[in-house]
Amino acid sequence: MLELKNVKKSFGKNKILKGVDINVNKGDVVVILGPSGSGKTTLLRTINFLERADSGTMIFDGKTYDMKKAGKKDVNFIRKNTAFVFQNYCLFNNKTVLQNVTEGLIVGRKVPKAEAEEKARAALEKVGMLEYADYYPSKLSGGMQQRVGIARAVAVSPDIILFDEPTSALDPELVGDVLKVIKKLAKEDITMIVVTHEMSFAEDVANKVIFMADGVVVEEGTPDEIFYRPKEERTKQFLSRIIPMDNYVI
Amino acid sequence: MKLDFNFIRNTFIAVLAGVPVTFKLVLVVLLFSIPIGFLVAIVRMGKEGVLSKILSVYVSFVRGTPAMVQIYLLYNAFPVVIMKYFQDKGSGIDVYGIKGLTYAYFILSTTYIAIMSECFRGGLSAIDKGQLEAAKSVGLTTFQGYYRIVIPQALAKVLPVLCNNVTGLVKMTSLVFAMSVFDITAIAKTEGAKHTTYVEAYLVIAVMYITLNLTIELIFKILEKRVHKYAGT
Repeated sequence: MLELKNVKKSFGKNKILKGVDINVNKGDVVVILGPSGSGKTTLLRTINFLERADSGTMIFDGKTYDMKKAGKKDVNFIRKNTAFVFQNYCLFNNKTVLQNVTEGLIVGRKVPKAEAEEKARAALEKVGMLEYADYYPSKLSGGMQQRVGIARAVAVSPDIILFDEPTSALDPELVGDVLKVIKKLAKEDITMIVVTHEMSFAEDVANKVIFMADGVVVEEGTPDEIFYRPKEERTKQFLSRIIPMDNYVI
Repeated sequence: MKLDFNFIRNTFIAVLAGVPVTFKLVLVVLLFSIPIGFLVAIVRMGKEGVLSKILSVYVSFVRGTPAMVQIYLLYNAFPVVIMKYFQDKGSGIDVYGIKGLTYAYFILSTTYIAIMSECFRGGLSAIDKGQLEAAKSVGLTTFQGYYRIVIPQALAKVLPVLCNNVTGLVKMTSLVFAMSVFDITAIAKTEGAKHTTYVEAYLVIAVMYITLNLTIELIFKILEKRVHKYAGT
């Protein structure tokens, strides 16, 4: 359903992505792991064209796009069929929770207001935020804001949801709630790519784990393969540093 | 010294004739400086380019010179120079024919475009870029993202500064007497000169300016209350 080939991106002299290939099938939950600066977030952002790749090919819904040259129309089409969950939520502060979710439907997709609100309420219900529909984001905790961010992504029924470190800006005690919501979505066969540092979550939810370092995919496989039988030295090194630290219970 | 209340009343009535001129100056200048100032802010916040550099020089120049000096340069000195040039060329254009009010609109607008652009630049940069990205990610165009998400919040943030700027503009309109425009200050000056009762005349306009600016502050207070609901705290 989504395939990226040889994606490259530099910021100035700094080569962030040095030719990344990934392949995501329908219903997949792909978790991308890797140390900071390995290009995980940048890769995710190039998929949604929040960052323009220097070169690369994207195959999405059977159509091939040049990631450097894709025109406005193509970018809009891809954006309308994907959704993004941001590390620091990025809710619209001048809109209520409900309006945050309906905005993309009403303005971006021309869905009639009543229908949009119905969809938005269903999405908020799913993340357990329906009772806060009329609140402004500034009145909510980080965990609540992120759940609204997820509802905003779910409401547009995207083909794929991209999660950019959805829990790394949260207080530890709020992480669990957000992960629970993502897990629930994973069970509904929603296709997603999740960049995260939550290892036990990755092990539980992902059906494919991609390990990135220094702008390339070092290794990919099932959670079992990556966590218990990693082949590459770089992967082993990374996991040995991370796993003992991971005590979160979901 | 005793105040001549009879004169105060008469001056008040005479000065009222200047109120529309002051209002017109304020409104016209705001009409130009708010949208253009906003565009200047957007250009200056975008990629560094020639236009952005020119605008930054312009803003520095306007902010670095008193409005009075700009009036001397543009209203008093500029026509002399340009007229000489036209005469040498044998052109029939009459620079002195341009009305003082036109100069007043022009000078106050250029000053306020610079002032407003700085105020909007502050407001826009206070809004997290992520919200614009989020707007794009849910399928809004960049324009829609600015118009529906970023600009309303930026405006809410700059309201106190904007209020300050508008009251400042009301006060700055008093300089137009130097361009022979008959606003309330100019009328008060001539009335005072006629009867040598300057104190009364200036008291009248002081009260007028205060009333006008208090009204403006009140309007902004109401606006601020309306946006307060989402502005945190």
